[in-house]
Amino acid sequence: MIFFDIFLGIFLGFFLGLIPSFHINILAYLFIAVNIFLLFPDNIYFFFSLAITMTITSLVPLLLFNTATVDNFSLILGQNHTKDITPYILGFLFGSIFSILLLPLFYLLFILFSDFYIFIFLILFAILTFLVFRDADRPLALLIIFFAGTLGVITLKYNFFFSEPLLPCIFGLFALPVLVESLFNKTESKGDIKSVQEMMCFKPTLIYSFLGSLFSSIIAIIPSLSPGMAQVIPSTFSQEYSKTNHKIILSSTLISVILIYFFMAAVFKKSRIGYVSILLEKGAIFAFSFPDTLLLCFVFLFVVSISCLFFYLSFPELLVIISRIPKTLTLICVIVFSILLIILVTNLFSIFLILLSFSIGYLPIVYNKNKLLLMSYLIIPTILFFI
Amino acid sequence: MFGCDIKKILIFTSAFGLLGIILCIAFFESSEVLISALVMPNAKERVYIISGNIKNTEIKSNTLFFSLCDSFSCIDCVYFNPSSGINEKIENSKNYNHLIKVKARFEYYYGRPELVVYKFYFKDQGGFS
Repeated sequence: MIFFDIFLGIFLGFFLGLIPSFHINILAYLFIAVNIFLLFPDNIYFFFSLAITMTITSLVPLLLFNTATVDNFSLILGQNHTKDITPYILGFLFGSIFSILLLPLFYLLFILFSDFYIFIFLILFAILTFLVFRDADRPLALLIIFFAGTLGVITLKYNFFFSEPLLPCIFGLFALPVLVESLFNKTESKGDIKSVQEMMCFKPTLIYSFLGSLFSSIIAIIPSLSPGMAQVIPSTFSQEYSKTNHKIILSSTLISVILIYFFMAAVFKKSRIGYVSILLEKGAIFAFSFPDTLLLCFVFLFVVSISCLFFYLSFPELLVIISRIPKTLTLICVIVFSILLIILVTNLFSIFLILLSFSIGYLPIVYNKNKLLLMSYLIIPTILFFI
Repeated sequence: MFGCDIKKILIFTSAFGLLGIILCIAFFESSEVLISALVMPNAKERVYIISGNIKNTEIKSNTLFFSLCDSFSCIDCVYFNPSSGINEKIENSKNYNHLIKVKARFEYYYGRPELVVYKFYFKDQGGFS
């Protein structure tokens, strides 16, 4: 049964990851809408494999359409893509190995610091300050933080509009602006760029994968920091890295948080992303004994390796197939489908929230600012919670 | 450095992961025991699968306490941070006296035998949780 779950998860995740800006949180709401928890009530390895494979294959829309999800948008910060996916694959693979090895460290850190509220408050405050001071145009960066933070406070802290604000706001802030920009961006994508094999060395690959996993372990302790935000630390050093190493460290971060979040949910019953939160609420993630944790680690390694292998082998064909699909039509379908799904899950008034958050989320694109500033939507309500 | 080796590395790690999964399933499968066997003196502390009926449920500080009973004896159980879905199923099991299975760690808490429940199997209610 476990192998059926794993392969079904890999199969579905492989195709769902190819949809531009289709985040696993939206998928979780789709699961609720179609009552999938009646079919898969406690099949944790199905959901786990699906999340892993979706994360890996979501590189395709990122590289082809330049449409990122909230998790992998840091990958495109200042990056000029080539179509060589080797650094990403190595980041995923070694990141998965290091995240397994660092799991005891995460366990220790979580026990020590998760209830240390002043520490969490200071970290969040430091991140916001860092984001402002790093920006050349600080008043504008502060303004974006203010707008996104205010939206977070009135929707998340006080539930000013209605009870399910997270999904429309996250979609409007992060996914929709990128999709719209990509829709109106007439420069034909990377279809004509030749794949260039990047030079990879063993030692730096290991070092940067290790750093990615280490940062994930640290960041996952703090509430409101999503996998996208977990890339704040590596991106602070981005000037010093080569682009290849940047890709390795970021993809390592991206894959490590999945294991950490599932482990955290099973052992501590805490969640950091909507997907895991919904699985916990539906009882799909059960408490783990030590053998269960060991099994989770082996499943993680197996799914990452097999997904990377399939992805690596099929990538040239995927490029050819996807480049035949009309980009504009695909993006319009994704936008319409996502908005309809959000309305179905929440209500018709979500359109107002989507438009409001979209207007804020579009600011960093218009003024060419770091999109991580928008994470103040989650960070500021969390800071206020800890004050 | 990596070039065409990447395929070999991926195949090797896939095989290693697969081997790990098979070994985990083969060697760490919990054995099924009777409650009566656990309440006997000097029962071994480890993870078991136990069947029984739920009685005396109580939630305190987001922790669910209940007793799991078979025809001969009962044992105290504890389940941490139950979700609303689990609570609902447990109440149903208690009210309709359904037989359920749990995967739990048996241990002595201040000398009293106790089960720390990891997972419920609600077969009679059309699902697991």
